[in-house]
Amino acid sequence: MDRADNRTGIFHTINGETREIVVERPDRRLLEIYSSWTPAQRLQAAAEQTRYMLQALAAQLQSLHPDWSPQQVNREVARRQLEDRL
Amino acid sequence: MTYGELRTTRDVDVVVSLRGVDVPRLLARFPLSDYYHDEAAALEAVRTGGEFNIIDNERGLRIDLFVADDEIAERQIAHARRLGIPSGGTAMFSAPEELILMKMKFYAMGWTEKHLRDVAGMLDRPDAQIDEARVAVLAGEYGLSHVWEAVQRRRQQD
Repeated sequence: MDRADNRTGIFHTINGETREIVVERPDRRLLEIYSSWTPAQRLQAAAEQTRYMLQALAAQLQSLHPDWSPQQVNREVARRQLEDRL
Repeated sequence: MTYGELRTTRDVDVVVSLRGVDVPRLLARFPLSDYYHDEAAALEAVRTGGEFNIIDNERGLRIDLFVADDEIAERQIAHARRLGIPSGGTAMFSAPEELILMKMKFYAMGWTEKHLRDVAGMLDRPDAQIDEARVAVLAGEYGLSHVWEAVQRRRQQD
């Protein structure tokens, strides 16, 4: 989540509106945790995160569309993963 | 993710209705041997209607807890939907209309433009089932019409 200390002091115009550019800086404590991981642990965490995300989306889609078969849910997950190119 | 583009994150945002007296009991569920949290920060968030976080030290995951302090947040809780989660159980998730309002509020507060992109992405999904008329009315009620108009301009540009 972005916070007030993520402000850059740099402004630009977008949609006809001048706004300060705000970036999301990573949490210092999370950075310390990630820095302590080995490359293998980082890869494993990325894989687990991706797997969880896909499982979460499937579970949510099944709730939103209780009439869908598991195949339909999987196809929708794949479609979104491929950015609607399926 | 549920209503918009698919992207990963290492944190989860939770809107909570929380009193100061409940803070110790909540944080006790997250032992300091495994999690980071700051009770003073949590109490300050309750007092000011801000946010605080809980970090899973082993897995590097963060929960951002937003203390409900306005009508939009209260709407998020009141209109939440129960959806499935990977464990096989369920959890309450914000309805898309309230999520859009909250993202527009954050954008109006000067937070990142990611929120505007998220809203446009949610609305432009081919299977989106979002009551845009209701969002427009609520945006007006909460002083967010200018952001709603910015969303529409962005959709036309995309």
